[in-house]
Amino acid sequence: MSDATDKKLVELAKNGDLDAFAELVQRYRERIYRTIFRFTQNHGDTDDLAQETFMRAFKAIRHFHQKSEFYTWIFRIAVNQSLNFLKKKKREMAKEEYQERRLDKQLSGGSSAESVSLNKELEARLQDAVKSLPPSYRSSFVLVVFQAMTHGEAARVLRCSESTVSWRMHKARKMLQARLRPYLDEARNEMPEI
Amino acid sequence: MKPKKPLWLLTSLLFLGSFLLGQVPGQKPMGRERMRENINKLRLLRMTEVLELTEEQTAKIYPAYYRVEKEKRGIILTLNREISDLKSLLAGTDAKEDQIASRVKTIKGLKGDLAQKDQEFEAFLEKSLTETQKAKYLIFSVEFYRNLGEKLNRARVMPRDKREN
Amino acid sequence: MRHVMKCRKYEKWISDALDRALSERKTKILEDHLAGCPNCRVYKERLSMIQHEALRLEVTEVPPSYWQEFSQSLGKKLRALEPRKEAPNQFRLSWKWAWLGAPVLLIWVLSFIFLRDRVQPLEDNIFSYEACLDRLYQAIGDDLGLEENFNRVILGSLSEGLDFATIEESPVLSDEALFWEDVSDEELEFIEQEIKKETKS
Repeated sequence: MSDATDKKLVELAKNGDLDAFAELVQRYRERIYRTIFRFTQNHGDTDDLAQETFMRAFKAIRHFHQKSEFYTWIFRIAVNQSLNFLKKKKREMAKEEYQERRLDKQLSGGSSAESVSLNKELEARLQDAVKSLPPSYRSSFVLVVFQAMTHGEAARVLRCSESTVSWRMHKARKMLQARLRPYLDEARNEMPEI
Repeated sequence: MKPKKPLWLLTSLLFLGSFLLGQVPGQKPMGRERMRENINKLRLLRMTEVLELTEEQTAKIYPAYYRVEKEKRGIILTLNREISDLKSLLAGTDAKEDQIASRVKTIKGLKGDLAQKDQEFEAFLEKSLTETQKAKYLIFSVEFYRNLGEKLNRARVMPRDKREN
Repeated sequence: MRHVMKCRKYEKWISDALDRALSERKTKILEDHLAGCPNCRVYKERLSMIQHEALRLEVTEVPPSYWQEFSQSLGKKLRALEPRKEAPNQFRLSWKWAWLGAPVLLIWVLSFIFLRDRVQPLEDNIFSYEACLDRLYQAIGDDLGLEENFNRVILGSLSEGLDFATIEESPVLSDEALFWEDVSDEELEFIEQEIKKETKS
């Protein structure tokens, strides 16, 4: 089973072969987990959504015609689940309150700003800034940067054109750069001169 | 009240579009490409008139239209290559069925991509037009395509240039 | 203004380069630009830092035992989705429908074979521009004379709509090929706003 191609496993899974589907789960569970984590930022929600992703995939696999690769399809389900999760989360609590709580959690070492290193602060701010990206930019950013997908691969997952992904990456980076400029410049000034 | 659009603005936008679409260094547009460009220009012009697009709408819709056309051009270039390859494959003697099937699948996929581009633009229009304009657009589409058929019939009866093909 | 707009284009190229989505030709042009533009160099540095930091952002590492629990929990839920033993009934049901559908399919196939060569009126696919153009190309085929004539008819219609005498009054467009090559929607909007400002009297 571990030698079989994704295509073959999908064909078996379509006929109800649980072992074949389990092999597919094993191949992609970690990547799916990491992708979802970039949206949820916590293990509990990530675990739920990852399970839900594979459940949905299993239910829908009979209708999967393999026009795209299996991994493209499963990533699409994962990204949609994550985006729905974010929408729900946004409705449940005010966005600023959510971000403040995350930021407090990350920055609290119990003490003042001085005790937090510059890189840690940049990391926290970056975390925050990525979360504040509009959903379509964030999806592209997560897939291209965190999942190391090419623009073409991300485009197939997100069902848009490659140039749309390229444009969204550019806009996402511009927004991140604008938001993080003071921290980036401080970090740049601290860098030793070459 | 109908806002009046300066004619030269429309001209600039149409020529701007031509520059954007025509900028393939070192290449002159081929006959069919030229034809496509002219039909695009005519479609935009007629659409602007029929829908009575405001300047703001024009400034939004034209760039989006040209962007989609630019993307379609990329797909069409790939599609033409694939079709050419398929023709060579079929003309050969040792074409395998799965090779042919794979090419056909690719070509169908590309055609699907082209159709999707149209849908993208239609969806963009949905957001940019008023309800009345949307209704006018539907009628315009039907009549524009019928009109192209009539133009083709007119072209059939026109005298031909005597040149070697 | 032109300088600022050029840099806007290079900002996108810098982003593409980070994703290894920039062609060799554009990479060379970008490198030449960066050599002479301190602003873009700083922008590139900032984006590189963001990229570097983003890749270091931690995902909670889960212990190996988690995956076993994950698979077990998922397996339980998937088995609960069975019985898929109903599927054979559905399968039988769909074969019943397939027999009923066979004559319909036969008629469709025969129609396709006998009618495909007839040129359908253009308005058949009234909501598909590409399909309409496809029909047009099919109708013209390899007839270059017809293609030429059709082009003339289209140009004639265009000139009815546009008074070409006004071309001389239009603002001079840049003749620098690269300037237009990757102009984005935002930049086009910006150009239109500037043109509007110039024409307001």
